[in-house]
Amino acid sequence: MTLLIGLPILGAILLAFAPKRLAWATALLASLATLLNALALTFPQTIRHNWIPSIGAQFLLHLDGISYLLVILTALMTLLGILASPVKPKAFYAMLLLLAACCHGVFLAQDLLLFFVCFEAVLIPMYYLISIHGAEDRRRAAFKFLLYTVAGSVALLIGFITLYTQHAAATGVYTFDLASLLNTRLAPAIERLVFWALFLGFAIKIPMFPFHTWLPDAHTQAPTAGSVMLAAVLLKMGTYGFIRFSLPLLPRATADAQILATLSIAAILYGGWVCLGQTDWKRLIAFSSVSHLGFCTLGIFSLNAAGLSGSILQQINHGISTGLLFLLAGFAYDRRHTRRIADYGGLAKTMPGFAAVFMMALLGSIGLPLLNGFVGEFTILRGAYQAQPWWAATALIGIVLAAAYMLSLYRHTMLGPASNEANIDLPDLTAREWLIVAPLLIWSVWIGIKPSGHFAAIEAPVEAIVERLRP
Amino acid sequence: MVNLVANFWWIPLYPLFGAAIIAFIRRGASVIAPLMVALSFIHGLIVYSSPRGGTLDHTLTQWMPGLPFRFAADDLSLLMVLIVSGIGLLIHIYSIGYMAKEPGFWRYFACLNLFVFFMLLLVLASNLAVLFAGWEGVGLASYLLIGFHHDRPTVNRNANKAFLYNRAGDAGFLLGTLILLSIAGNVEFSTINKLPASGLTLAAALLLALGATGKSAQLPLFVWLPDAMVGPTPVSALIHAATMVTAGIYLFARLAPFLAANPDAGLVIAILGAATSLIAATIAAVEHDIKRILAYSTVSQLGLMFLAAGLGATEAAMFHVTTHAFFKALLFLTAGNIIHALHGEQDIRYMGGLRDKMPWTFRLMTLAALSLAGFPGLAGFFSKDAILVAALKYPVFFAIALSVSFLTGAYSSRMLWAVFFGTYQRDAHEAHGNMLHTLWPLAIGSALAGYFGPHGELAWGVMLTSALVSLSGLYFGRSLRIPVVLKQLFARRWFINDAYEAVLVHAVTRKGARAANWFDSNLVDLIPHVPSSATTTLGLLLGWFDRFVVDGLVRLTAALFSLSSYPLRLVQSGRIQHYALAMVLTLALTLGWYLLA
Amino acid sequence: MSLYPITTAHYVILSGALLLIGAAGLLMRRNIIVMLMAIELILNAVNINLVAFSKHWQQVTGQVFAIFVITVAVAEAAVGLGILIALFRHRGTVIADEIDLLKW
Repeated sequence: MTLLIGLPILGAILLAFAPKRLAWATALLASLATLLNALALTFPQTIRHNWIPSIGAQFLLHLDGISYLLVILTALMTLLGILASPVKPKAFYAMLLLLAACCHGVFLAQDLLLFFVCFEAVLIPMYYLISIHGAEDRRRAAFKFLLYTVAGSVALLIGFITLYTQHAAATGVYTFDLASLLNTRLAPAIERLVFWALFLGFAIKIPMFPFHTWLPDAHTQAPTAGSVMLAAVLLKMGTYGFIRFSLPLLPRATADAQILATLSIAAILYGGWVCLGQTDWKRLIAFSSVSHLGFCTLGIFSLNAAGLSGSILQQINHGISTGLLFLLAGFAYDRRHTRRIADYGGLAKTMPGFAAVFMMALLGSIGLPLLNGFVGEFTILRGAYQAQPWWAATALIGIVLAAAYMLSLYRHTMLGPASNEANIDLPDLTAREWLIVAPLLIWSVWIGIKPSGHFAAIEAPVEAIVERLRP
Repeated sequence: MVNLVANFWWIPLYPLFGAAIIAFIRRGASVIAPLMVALSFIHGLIVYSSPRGGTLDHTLTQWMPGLPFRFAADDLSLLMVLIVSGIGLLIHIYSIGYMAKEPGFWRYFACLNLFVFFMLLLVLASNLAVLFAGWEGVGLASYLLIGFHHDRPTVNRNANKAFLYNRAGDAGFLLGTLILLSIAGNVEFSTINKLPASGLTLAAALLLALGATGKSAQLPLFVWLPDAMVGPTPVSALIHAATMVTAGIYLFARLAPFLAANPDAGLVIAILGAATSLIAATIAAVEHDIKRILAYSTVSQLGLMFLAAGLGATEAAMFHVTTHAFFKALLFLTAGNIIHALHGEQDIRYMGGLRDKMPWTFRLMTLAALSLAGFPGLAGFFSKDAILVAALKYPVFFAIALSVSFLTGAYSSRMLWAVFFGTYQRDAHEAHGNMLHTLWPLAIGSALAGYFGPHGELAWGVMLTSALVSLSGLYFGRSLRIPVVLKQLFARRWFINDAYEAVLVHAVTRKGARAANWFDSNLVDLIPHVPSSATTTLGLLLGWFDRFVVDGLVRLTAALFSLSSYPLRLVQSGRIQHYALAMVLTLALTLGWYLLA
Repeated sequence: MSLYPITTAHYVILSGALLLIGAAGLLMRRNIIVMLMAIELILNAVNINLVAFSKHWQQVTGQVFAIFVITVAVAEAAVGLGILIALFRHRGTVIADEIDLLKW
């Protein structure tokens, strides 16, 4: 399991010595090896090494169902991101691989300090990717992304340290181990303080409304592989953090935080509404991410098995669908070098394959039954309804909004007459691009029709968390 | 030999494979597509006519926790299977002729097959979840087919409109499903139909009804159907007349005991149906586009079906579904023939005198129109009677239904007179081949289907009244005079569509989204900007502090030294006498202090 | 002719007066030769004082010291006049106020 972190780092180091024309191949090889390794893992399993004994930090990795799904998603997205960027400098691929390694670290770490280090470490390659290889306003977008996230992480660190010291005050043992910290009894005021500190860190990452304003800029300015990784993987770190840390460690404070469900619903509706007025393709998808992750957080804060498992599955679904959408936007950008929706139109005539794949991604994203989005959304709504019926009622407006903005995007880019001269002779998807979208389409249909395997994988951890949440 | 009865769940799969195959190989669609639908039809027929021993059941797989992918087949679902696949088959064959020269031929048939798959999935579902899969799926297929000519902007807008209004209904449907799921633990129809009535079940029933109004184009979500007529005519015939729009009534029939347990919901459905029926009939009476007349007619007839279903007469409603499928499909297809013959003309004001040029179309269309209007003896007459009998419970409904009957006759005959009589200005050729001969089964059905339906006590009084009303409607339709004020109201579609457009499109979407964007970029973005500006300002202040205050002290000290040196150097006068004086003074002071202290 | 007896006090007053006159002359006169003469006056005042107290305490130490002082005064006057002559040759003046090279 350590190879999940080690292989990409190894690949990155190799890239430093590889000749320039083999860079892409090396990166592909490294990410493919990581993916195969990930697929071959069984769970649950744990790896424990000593790291900094003097303060009680360990190199502690644990793989359970939730982590497994997220790790597979990360590895797959890294591979597809590299596939989608054939002619980039070596440093680009190296940074992508490092990003993958840190993401794996985040999803596997059970030691608070290790988690925090990986959580922060993710920002460095991402900053590099956006500010060096991004679009016209990349510096500002990368800077905003970095600072905003770091500000949240400071709060996160404060929360973690508080937990650490509280545990030490209670038991005399200084440790960052999650399993040990689960046994800490905290005073209600402190628990609430830690919860909101952690909340700030995770909420900015997700991003929850109203902390989302870094996302549209970061997504539009990032290169395709960067956007894909950002949307598919990085955003999940926030929700994963809630599920793995906030909920089990701080059950009573979480139960008191009813406002977070309202905030999630606000994200769903607000994100969807703002989408309707977008003129930039990637910015629209970015806001749709805000909306979708609103569903995920709603599922989390319903605090029941249906909501949690639906949320986890929907996170994977979002990774698949939105990753696919960003990849397609990237393919279009590769051809026309513009993100303005008004510059497109009538692409279905010249690129029918692209249009078909786009339609599939769109349908998955808006939650058509028999595709992945519906399973996740329905389960979340079930959980939300069990918690508070009106949450489900208001969240449902979101599915109409989703259809509205997605179909509007499709209409303006794919349908209609090809009025712009430049759109007439565009090549359809190449074999490489088909190779990229195929696994995502297959996975999407698989989850849509037979999600039972996925649900079974996450059942045990979800049950454990729900058990802890019981008053 | 494969047990076709036990494997009834294969029925939806044939057209699914058909769609997949056509999408991949893009050839031979004219053979594969109808073949698959024919297979479904034959399989359905076999299952229908075999002894079944109750409801057939089959679970395919566990879909979501607590929601299995489960199929069930009883008389109701098999009837729907036959209607969908039978009329679907006819329309597939018709389409081979109608869409012959269209680019994207394969795409049309792939979508049409996909539609049949979803519709069959819908009717063979054993629980609300699988039904919903089919429900949304037919919405998707409808979107794809309405938007078939996707290089025309209006077409795309209307396709979007159809999908979105359906989706709005689906949101209500989902909420109703969630409520029922929380009450009963699963959403099998058998479970739902046994639930005791409560406030929650009433809410669920109303929400499911909202979904049905979206799918079946009733108030408040009916405005998409007339705009959906921009799709190819066979699509209008199949989806927007015979099958998809009847999904709502199918739902009511399937949940008849549930509705019976919540009669208030049924009353609401009936009111919606009656109101829609009347409104749509009035609009149809002033429309000029032949397809839109038929569209509003469909809405109106569906309203009558809603009325019957709401009042608990689901048999009557399903009876009307069946007969309506025949004559409405026939009407649309003959209209398709006319449009095809006139090279795309759809406005009845520019038609006329086609009776001689297209005799068979004339006869078939007249037959269908008379059946629609309820001419005594034809299929529509009997099914409408069944509804009227059910409506007797509430005199208001009965009156409305009769008025609708009158209006139906009126607009039908108005259409016929405008299209087929008078002087002909255009050159037109009769339909032939696929486009003509597929119409015969529909004609037979329009005429004779009424005799196979459920016959309750034959209420002769009702029959007589309805016959009189229909005939008078047909008679007056030729020279229908509507007061100008009312005509304006009807022509503007009772301003319902305008209201929706104003609120949803202009206010919410255009201006609202722009406002939301402004809010996001300027106000929400203050959250990071205010702290960052504060930090930058603080940084500037601290810089000032550092430069002027801290460094100032240092420089002040230095300045003090250099300033004090100015007076001090004046002591060095260079004159020995001053030095001597200094020595003397110092000596005197020291001695004095020493001596005195 | 016996007036008041001449006590030691008279001598001390005389020497003090001479000291003050000499000091005043040293400080107030501008001509260096006069300043040198004033210095001689101061030295002589000290001599008178020494001798007076030698008589008063009936010890010879004072008178011995007075001889030393005279010798030193002579040497100092010689050196002073030598400096004065050298100063006059370079500066052309013997006014103390005009010799202020060490002024700031």
